[in-house]
Amino acid sequence: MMYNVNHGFWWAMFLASLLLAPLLFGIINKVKAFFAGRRGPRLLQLYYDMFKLSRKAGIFSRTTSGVLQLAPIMSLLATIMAMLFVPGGLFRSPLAFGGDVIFFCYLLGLSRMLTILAAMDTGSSFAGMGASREAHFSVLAEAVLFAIVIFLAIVARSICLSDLLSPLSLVTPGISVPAVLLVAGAFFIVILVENCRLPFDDPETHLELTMIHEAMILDYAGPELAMIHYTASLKLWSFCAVLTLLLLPQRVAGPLTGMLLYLALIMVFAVGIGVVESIMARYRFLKVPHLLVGSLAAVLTAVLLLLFF
Amino acid sequence: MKIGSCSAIVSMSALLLTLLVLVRTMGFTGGPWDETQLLFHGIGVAYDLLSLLFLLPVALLGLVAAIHSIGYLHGHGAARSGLYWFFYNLTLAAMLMVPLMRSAPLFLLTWEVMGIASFALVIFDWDAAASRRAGWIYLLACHAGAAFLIMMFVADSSPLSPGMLWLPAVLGIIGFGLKAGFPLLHVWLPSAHPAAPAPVSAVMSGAMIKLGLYGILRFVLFSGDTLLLCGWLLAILGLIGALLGIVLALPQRNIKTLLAYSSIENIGIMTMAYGLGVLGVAYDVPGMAILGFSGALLHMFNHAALKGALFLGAGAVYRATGTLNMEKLGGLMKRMPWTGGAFAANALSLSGLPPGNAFLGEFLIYAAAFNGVINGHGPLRALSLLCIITLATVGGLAVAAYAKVISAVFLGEPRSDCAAKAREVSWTMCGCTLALLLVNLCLLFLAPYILPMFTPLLTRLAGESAAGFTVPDIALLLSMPSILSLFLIGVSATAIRWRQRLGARRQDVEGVTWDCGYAAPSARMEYTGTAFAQPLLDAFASVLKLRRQLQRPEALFPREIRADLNSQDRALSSVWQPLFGRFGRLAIKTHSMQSGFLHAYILTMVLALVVMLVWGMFCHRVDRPTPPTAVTEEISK
Repeated sequence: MMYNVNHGFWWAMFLASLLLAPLLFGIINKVKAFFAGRRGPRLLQLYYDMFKLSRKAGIFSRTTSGVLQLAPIMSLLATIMAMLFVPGGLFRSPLAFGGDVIFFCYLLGLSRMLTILAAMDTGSSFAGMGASREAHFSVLAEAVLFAIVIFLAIVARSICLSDLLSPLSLVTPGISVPAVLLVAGAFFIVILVENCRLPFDDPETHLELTMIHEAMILDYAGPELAMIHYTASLKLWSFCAVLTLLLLPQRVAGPLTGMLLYLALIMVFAVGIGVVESIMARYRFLKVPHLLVGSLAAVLTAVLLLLFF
Repeated sequence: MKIGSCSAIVSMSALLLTLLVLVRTMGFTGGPWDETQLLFHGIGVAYDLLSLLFLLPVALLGLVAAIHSIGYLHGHGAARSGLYWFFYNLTLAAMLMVPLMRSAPLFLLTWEVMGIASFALVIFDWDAAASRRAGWIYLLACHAGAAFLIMMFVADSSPLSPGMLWLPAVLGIIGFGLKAGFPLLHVWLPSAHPAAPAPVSAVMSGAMIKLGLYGILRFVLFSGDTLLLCGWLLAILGLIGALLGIVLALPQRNIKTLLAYSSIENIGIMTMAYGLGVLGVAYDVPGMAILGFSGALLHMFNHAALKGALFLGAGAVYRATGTLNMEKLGGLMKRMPWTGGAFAANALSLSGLPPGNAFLGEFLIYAAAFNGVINGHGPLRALSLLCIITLATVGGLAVAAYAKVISAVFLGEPRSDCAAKAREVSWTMCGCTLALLLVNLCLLFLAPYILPMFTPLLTRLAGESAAGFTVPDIALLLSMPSILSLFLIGVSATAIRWRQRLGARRQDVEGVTWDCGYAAPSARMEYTGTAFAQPLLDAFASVLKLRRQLQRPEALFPREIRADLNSQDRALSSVWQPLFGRFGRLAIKTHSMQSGFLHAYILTMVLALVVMLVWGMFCHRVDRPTPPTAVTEEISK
C-alpha cells in the first residue's frame, strides 16, 4: 500500500474539498468565457450565489408534497457521505471498507433518484421531461461506471475505493497503456454524463425543452437551490478526484507536493471540461446512448487487454 | 371479521413458533444443520434451518396480510368473505407445511394444495373475465409444475445411466422455476398478481414464489453430481430473469402488474446469486460461494418484507380510489400521507438504493460477483463480469421503474376524479404497510446480526472450503453500509426538521409550478408514467414488442390528439400460445381413436401392454448397482 495512513491529513483534505468544490464551476465558466472572448463571471461567483440564495425564504409549489423539500437535503447528505470514501490525495480514507465502491456508486444513485422524484413531484411537464431523460441516461452510465470498477478491481484485486485508486496500481508494469487510456477516456465521458455537462446536457441553455438537469430543478428557489448547486459541485469534485487518483504519477516527492499536485490536477480536469464545453456542441439526445454504449465497449476492451496481454 | 381475526391470530402464533424454534435451534447449540428435527417419525416431516429460513417470510406475511385482509374485504358480502378466509387459511397452512415435508408424496401433496387453494384466491373476483383468464393460466402453471416435479422425483429415485444424471436437475429447475417465475416460465405471475386481492398478492409474491427457490435448494442442488450444470443454469436463468423482469416492468400501467414483473426481476437476482454460490463451490472459489449464498438469503428476506409492503400499499390505493391504473392516479401523497410515505420509502428501498435494506443483499451479491472476477478464471470470470454489468443495469432500470410508480401514483396532480377524492384508508390497512416498513428498518439494522444465525446453513451450502471466508466476516462487511445507512436516515431526518423550523421562521411561501406563464396548469400537462418511461422503452423496443398508436393533429383546429404506447409480453404471445395451439390441434387429431366401440378400446390397451412388455424385456436393462452418493461427499468435492 502506497498510502499514507494519516487521518488528520485526510480530514484536512476532506474539508478542503468541501470548501473548494464550488470553485470548479468558476474555473469551467472562466475557461468558457476565455474561449468566447468574454470576461465571464468571477471565479468565486458560485460562492456569492449560494450565499445569497441561502439567506432567502423558500418557495414551494402548491402541487408538491414533502418530497420536493426532502430531496435536496438528502441528496446533499448522500453526496457528502459518498465523498467520505474518496481518498484525499495520498491519504487513505479512514472509513474505507471492502465494497465501499459499490456503496459510493449507489449513494450517488440515491441522490439521482431523489432529484428525479422531486422533479416529478412538481407536476411540471418540463421537469418530467428532464427526469425521464436523466433516468434513461443513468442506466447506461451506471453500467459503464461498474465496468470501470471491474477493470480496477482486477488490477487492484480489491473492491475498496481507496485500494482501487491506489497510486501504484495503474502504473504498475505489465498493464498495457492503451487499456489505461481507454478506461480514463470512458471515465471522462461518465463524468460528463453524470454531471450533466456538454455534450450531453447543456447547463446554460435557456430553453426548458432542451435541458436535463436544469429542467428537473426549475421549481427550486432559495436555500434549496443553493443546496442543489452545492451538491452538483461536490459530485463534480468527487468524480474529478477519482479521475485524478487514477492517473496521478507514481512517485511524488512528499505528502505536501503530492497534495498540491492532486489539487492542481483536479483543477486541470475542470479546465479540460471547460475546453470540451467550449469546442463541442450538444449531442442530439438520441445519440447519447450510442456514445455510452461505445464507452462501455471501450472499457470491456480494456478489460480484455488487461486479462490477455 | 371474526374469522379474519382468528386467522390473524393463527398466523401470528405460527410466526412466533417459527421464531422460537429458530432461536432455539441455532442460538445455543451452534445449530448443526444436518440434524434435522423429526416432528413425526416415519412419515418424513421434519424441520431444519433451511425450512425455518423459508418459513419466516411465510409466517410474517401471512400475519400482516391477514390483518390487511380484514380492511380489504370490508364491504364484500359474508359469503364471499367466508370463501376468501377458507382458501386463505388453506393456502397459508399449505405454505407453512411445504418446507416441513421431506418425503416426495407428502411434499407433492402440500405443494398441490398450496397451488389449488391459491388458485381459488386468484379468481376471487370471478365476475371479471381477466381474473378467470389469469386463474386459468395460473392453474395450468401449477399443474405443469407439479407434473415436472413428479417426473423429477421419479427420475431421482430410479436408476439412471451416468449420461442421464442431468435429467432430475433440469426437471426440478423447470418444475420449481414455474412457481418461482423463471424467465419464460413466468407468464402466470403478471396476470395472477393483479387479479388476486392485494393481501393474497402480497403473500404470493413475498413468500410463495420463494418456495420455488426452496425446492431447488432442497431437492435439486443436493442430489446428483450436477453442481456445475445447476450453477450455470441458475446463474444464466437468473441473469435473463432479472433483466427481462425489470424491462417488462417498465411499460406497465397497472401497479400490481408492474410489481409482479419486479418480483420476476428480484427472483432473477436471487437465482443469479444462488447460481454464483453454486459455481463458487463447483470452481472452488470459496469467497464467492459464501457471499453468493448469503446475498441470496438476505435479498430473499428483504424482498419478502418489501414486496409484501408494496402489494399491501397497492391494495390500499385500490380501496381508496377504485383503480390500479397509474395513468388515472397521481397526487395521492397529500391525500394518503401514511400509505404514500410508506409505499415511497419501501419502493425506494426495493430499487436497491442505500438507506434501504434491499441494498445490503445486493451489496453482498455484487461482492460475490466481484470475488468471482478477481479470483475466478476463464468462463467463471466472464460470467461474474456479466453479472456485475447486469446488476448495474438492472439497478438503473429498477430506479426508473420505481421512480415511475412513485411519481405516477403519489406525486404531482391527480389525473382523475377518483384520485382527487381519495382519502386515507382505515388504520388496519395503513398500519400493515407501516408495520412492514418497520420490519424493513429492523432488517436494515439487524442484517449483520441475522446473517450469523444462519452460519451452519451457509457453511453447509458453501462447503467447508469456505472456512477462510467466514460468515462473521460477511457480517462485518455488512455492518458498515448498515450503520452508515442508518446514520444517513437519522441525519436527514434531523436536517429536515431543522429546515422546516427555518422555513417557519423565514415564512416560506407557496406558489404554482413553473408552467411558462400559463395561468391554469392542469393535470393533463403533467408527464404520465408511460411518458416518463418512453425513452427507455424505445431502447428495449424489440424485447417489449412495442405498439404505438398515434392520432396526429389534423386540420387547423384539431379536435383530438392521441398517443398510445402498448407493450406485450412475448413469452406468452410468441412462445406459449403457439405451442399450446399446436398441441391443441394435435390433440384434436387423436379424436379418430375415439370410435365408440368398447372392443376397439380393449384392443388398444392390450396392444399397448404387449408393446410395453416387449420393451421392458429386451430394451430396458437395470445396470446401476451404486446407490446415490451421500450429500456431504457431493459438497466437499
